Amino acid sequence: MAQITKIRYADGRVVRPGDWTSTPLYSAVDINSGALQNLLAFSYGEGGDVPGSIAASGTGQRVATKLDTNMKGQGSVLAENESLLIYGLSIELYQRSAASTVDFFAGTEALMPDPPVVAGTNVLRVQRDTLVSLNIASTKEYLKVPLGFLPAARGVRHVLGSSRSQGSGYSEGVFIGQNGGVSEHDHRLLATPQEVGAGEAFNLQFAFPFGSIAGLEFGDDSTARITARVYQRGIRRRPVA
Amino acid sequence: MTSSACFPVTQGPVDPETGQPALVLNQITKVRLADGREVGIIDWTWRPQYSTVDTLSGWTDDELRAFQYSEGDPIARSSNMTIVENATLKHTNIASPAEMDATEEMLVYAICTEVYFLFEDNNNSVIDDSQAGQPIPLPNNIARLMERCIVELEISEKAYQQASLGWFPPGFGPMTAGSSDTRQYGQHSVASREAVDMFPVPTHIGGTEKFAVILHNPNGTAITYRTEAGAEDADAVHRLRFNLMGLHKRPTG
Repeated sequence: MAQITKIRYADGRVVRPGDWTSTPLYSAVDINSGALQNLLAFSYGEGGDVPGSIAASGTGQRVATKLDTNMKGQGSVLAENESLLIYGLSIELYQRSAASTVDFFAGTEALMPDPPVVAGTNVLRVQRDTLVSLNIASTKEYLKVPLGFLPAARGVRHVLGSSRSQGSGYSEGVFIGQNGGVSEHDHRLLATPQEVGAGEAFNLQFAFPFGSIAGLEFGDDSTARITARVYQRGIRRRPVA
Repeated sequence: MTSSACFPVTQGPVDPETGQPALVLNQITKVRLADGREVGIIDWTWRPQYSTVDTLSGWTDDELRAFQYSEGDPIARSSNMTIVENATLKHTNIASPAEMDATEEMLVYAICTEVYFLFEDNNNSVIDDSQAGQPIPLPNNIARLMERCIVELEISEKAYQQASLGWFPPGFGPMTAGSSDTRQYGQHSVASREAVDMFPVPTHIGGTEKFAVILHNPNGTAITYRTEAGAEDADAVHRLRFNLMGLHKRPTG
């Protein structure tokens, strides 16, 4: 068995992946139920503002912690001592809510599991109305696909009771959703990996061609969001010391 | 990224007895690391090393560290727990706390995390699993841990693998089905080997090297376990057993 010690790119360049690891780079954005602008993942580092989010105080945006990203620096640019080979992207979805977890949907859609589990209807709405594009070197768009094209490939496998419900006195069933299957087997590998070089600009854009996600249901909670945490799949070079 | 290729099978010459090509299982004899170093695979086995962390509903610790104790020591747990188990073989199998034993090495291909739902029984001073459906967790609490916790493999004070708890499924467990009118059941991903992301670049831990698997709660806010109706379950314990999966070198003698 041998590890990869040399990679030849399509343009003939050869790199030697000393100190490459498979630890992913990740970044999150928050999606709300109203009008939506484009949201850029990987556009901020720890301590920056999470795009689309709202702070717990209700004013300003949520400050990013290690939960949101493990990017260093200001974001949007890969550190000078790092490189990425992107073989795929995985997007996890989580329900975020400050409201009581009971009757989250206020009777309009009594299918809501306890957050951060996301309702199946909301997952489908997000998948229907969200496009994701990978931009490298600012101007080039390397990938543009519906969000559902990039499954999380991990998550919770549910076995549901026949009469379990969060919403209405346990009289209705819960309806949960995931972004694709919950097994690594469900991950989509790109046919050709994309390279992000040291110091190169890049981001992952969440675009909403209809201006919002129609029907996204958060009940009465105006601060509720769906957090989309996206992971770079592949190998990543980082400094040794 | 779905196959470790650890023990590749190749096709040999035709077997005269069967008339079919023989399939040969090739043992690894040498591993070349990315930096050019070569590790001879003698006395290596596919033997997980594991360590357990207990967390009680409402825990707020910024981080909890696995692999910091060996058998007989108190196990790692959140600071709000009042009942502490001493480690047995079910909690850990490492020889030296907080570091790889001097005579051992490991090539880590995956971190596999088992999640169990228990409860702190203060009347009897035990951590028990006698409530309905235990130790299978509720789905909402697994999702809560996935959303709120980052898992990190730290070696010699450097972070290697770092991603949400959801990134590291066990890849085994009960394959449940059917329905119940009493509760839901959840599993960390599916109970299948194919659920696990085997690292394309394994991580090497040398003899005497310090290492830990860290469960981060980066926001330091309370992680409260809930019933499926969303009510706080103050006595709920979630036990996480982290398995480092890969090739492990141990002395023969």
